[in-house]
Amino acid sequence: MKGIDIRIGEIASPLGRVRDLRVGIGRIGSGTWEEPAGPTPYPSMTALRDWDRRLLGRYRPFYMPLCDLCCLCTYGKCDLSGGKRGACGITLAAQQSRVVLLAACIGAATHTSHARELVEYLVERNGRTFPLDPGGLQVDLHMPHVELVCGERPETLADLETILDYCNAQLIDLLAATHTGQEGDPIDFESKVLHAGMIDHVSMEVADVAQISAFDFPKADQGALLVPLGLGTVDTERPVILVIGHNVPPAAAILDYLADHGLEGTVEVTGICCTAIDMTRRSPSAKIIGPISWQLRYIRSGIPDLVVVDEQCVRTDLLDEAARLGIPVIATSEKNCLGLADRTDELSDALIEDLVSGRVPGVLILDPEKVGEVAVRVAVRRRPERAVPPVADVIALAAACGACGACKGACPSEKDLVGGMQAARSGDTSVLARMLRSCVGCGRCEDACPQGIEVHRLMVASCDECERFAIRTGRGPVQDIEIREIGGPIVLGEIPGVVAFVGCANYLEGGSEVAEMVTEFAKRRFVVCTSGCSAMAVAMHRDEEGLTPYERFSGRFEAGGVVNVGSCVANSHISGAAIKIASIFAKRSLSGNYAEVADYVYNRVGAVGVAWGAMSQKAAAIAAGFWRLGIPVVVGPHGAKYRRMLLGRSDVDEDWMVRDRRSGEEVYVGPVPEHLFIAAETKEEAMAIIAKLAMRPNDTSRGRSIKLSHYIDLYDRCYGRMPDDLHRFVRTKADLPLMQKEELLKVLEARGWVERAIPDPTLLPEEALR
Amino acid sequence: MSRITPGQPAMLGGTRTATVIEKPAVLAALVKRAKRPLLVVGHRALVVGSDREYVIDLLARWAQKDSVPVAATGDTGPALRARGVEPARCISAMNLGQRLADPQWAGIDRAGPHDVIFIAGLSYALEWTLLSGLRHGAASLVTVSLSPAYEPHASFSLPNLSWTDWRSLVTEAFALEEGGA
Repeated sequence: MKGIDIRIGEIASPLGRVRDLRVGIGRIGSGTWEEPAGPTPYPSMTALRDWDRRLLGRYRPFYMPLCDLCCLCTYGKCDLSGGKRGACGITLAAQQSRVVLLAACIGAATHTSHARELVEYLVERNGRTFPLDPGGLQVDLHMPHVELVCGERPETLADLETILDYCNAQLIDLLAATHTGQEGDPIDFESKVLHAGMIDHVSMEVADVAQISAFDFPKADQGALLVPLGLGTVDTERPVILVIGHNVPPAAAILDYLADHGLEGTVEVTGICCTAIDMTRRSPSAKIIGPISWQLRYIRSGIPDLVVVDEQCVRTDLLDEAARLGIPVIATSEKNCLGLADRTDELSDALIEDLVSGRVPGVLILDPEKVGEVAVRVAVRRRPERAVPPVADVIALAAACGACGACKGACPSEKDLVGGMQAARSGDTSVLARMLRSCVGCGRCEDACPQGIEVHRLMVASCDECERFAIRTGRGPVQDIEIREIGGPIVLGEIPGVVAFVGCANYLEGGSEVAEMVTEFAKRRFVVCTSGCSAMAVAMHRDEEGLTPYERFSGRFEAGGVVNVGSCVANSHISGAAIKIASIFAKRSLSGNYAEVADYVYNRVGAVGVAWGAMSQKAAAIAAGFWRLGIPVVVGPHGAKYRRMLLGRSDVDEDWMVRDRRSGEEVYVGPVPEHLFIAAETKEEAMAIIAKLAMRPNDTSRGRSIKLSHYIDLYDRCYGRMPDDLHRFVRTKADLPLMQKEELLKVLEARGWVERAIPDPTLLPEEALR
Repeated sequence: MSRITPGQPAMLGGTRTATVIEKPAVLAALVKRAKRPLLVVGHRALVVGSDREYVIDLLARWAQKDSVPVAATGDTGPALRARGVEPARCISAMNLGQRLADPQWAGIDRAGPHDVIFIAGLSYALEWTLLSGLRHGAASLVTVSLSPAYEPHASFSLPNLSWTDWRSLVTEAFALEEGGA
């Protein structure tokens, strides 16, 4: 029996009077937590609909369909263009929001499943009563999302099962809403998108807190180690294991096997994507090769002796790629079996012989400890050396290019691959080599080539760069003390904002743009956070002194710090930091009190998410979780393919009215933040947008003047002039940056600007606030 | 009947695809018919071209010659200004799309709604998605893609062209003199 929760405010009985009695079955007992229960513990998908509609009334969806049709039922295909409705009555707008919801559900389900797999494994490995400890003595507020959403304070690994039960149930309900003949209103779909996002952040938090606690990852560690990253870090004289994916138990078991058998330092354990980051949180001897875009490149380098894959963002043709070089593969996840035979229950010796001899291209092993043993014992029996084509072969192979341009048309980065091939055939392979630096590694150029030229392979062969970089490994949550120190300056605006660079590696112009933006905002004394593939992209860039941003800036959550929180699931600590500000600095009650806390974050915490290379459905869900908390997200140009933006209209004054809690009146606060979700075209444009989106209604004049100075400067750098919308962000003369005051006043006067009061802003009605 | 593929072949259009502008006269006629045109110029107008001349150079010359108001997206504003064109507004492509889809919007220069936009210089996918948004959200707006890669979501689009062919077509359609405005 689960899900029973009886609360009695006060009851008189023959035995006496009882107050605040609560009886729960299938709930978590939190003996020491004294927060009063809020209005929406374990919210259903409509419990926060009113809050969502307040946000979505201001940030209206702008739909950009990737397809005019609906193909989801046998009535169809239905043409929804030109105002036509589908056979079920659905409009194009509703269909787009429905697909966005599907994407968000896929993303949130992926993190929830990931968390479930981790928790089940760790419960078996460490015991049900193993205590949760994501931050040691530095963190009392362990799980801000769980507390805010569920009204629970989990204490053990087993407690997390209850949280995941809730997430599972919500995702099933959300998915059901996408069935034919359910929702038809786009805003109701969008509200459910936000719900999926909120669930996603809860699941991510569960996953990361579980693995931090049980694997002894850095616990809110400001001094998390600098660890090696890049192809140049690999000692190719040693056996090399490559691990790809997001779910760390198999990789951790490899590291444990090496340690337990005295083999540390004899085998290179290298990784791509988030498992790589999490391996380095487990052991600094592990090495990160790079983000997901490096899969083809690294495998085709011929360096790995064995590939181990877990789940998420793994190339689905990986088995074929590895087989071409005779690299055996071990699949380890029920969600990514690669068509391989499940040999979990067989003796390790048999598996090893089959893999080493090449009798099978790979095996499926659903037992992390067995993976650890088999992987190491296979890798040490090194496969015969294989290599990519030498440069001379590149020139010969490029000669077959007919310059038809099919490769260029297939390239998402619009690279002039024809030019590169033409240069190569004349003996200059440097053009192809340069292109590889910003290549997303999709390999579509090869499938498109009518001559069958392996364009990407030639790029890999042309490039002999073998650099080593340093990345600060994922530190986990933000400390409570850090929130106490800078929560005030953030809320007051004196720290100009928190900018989080998250997401995948689908860049139009390469990952160096992320590093440049991180450096720019750290220099401007924003608090900068990174995670996942973005965290890796940041590390692969050096300044003029040869330092990566992690070497140049501190790892503290402070003005000018660059904080790598960890893998994808650690994104929850970034949004969690905003919740912590509401709790620790502003003393807002968290327990089941989502709308009030989101209203606080939205109006007061100048946080902005940036997913410059966002590609996946997980990234969509992560963004949605930020949106529901009122945190805007900027994506790169490919992000427009998420098919809708959530945009404010700065020129419509009535959209920017809030209730002043002091006076109860509706007052104009200006378009802050102007958008909830927007794709930027270039990094220069993105930086101007980020600086603008960091403004909040509650900024003090001193804070607003600091934020305005950054906005004006970055706007000028991008557009070469004063912001067209400057007057909308200046409330009083005291908001103006001192050094530019006279100049700006003239601009404002010319635009008919008048001073206005700074309210105590809220989007919520009085009765919603406790 | 020959079939035209999008500039990126996988980016197929919807149930209706853009009319291909095969000849300069067609583009010239679209220009002539436009009562409230808007030229949208993205940052790749600075990238696509030859060593000496880029897409932005020809578009700037046309904007100057015919006094077409310009919306500069991305960080294109300073480059347009350097070519003698003061953008009516620097605005993000998404923001512009949302406004164009609003029939109440007063236009980039507050002189009234636009009936035709000419667009070039965005990354292919960004232009593709923006044009899709306009096709569905701004049904009365005529969209003309001037990019050298076919954009199926536009009302009218140039076909896939080499730089030389693109330059030739645009120069003739806009009646630009060789070598300057």
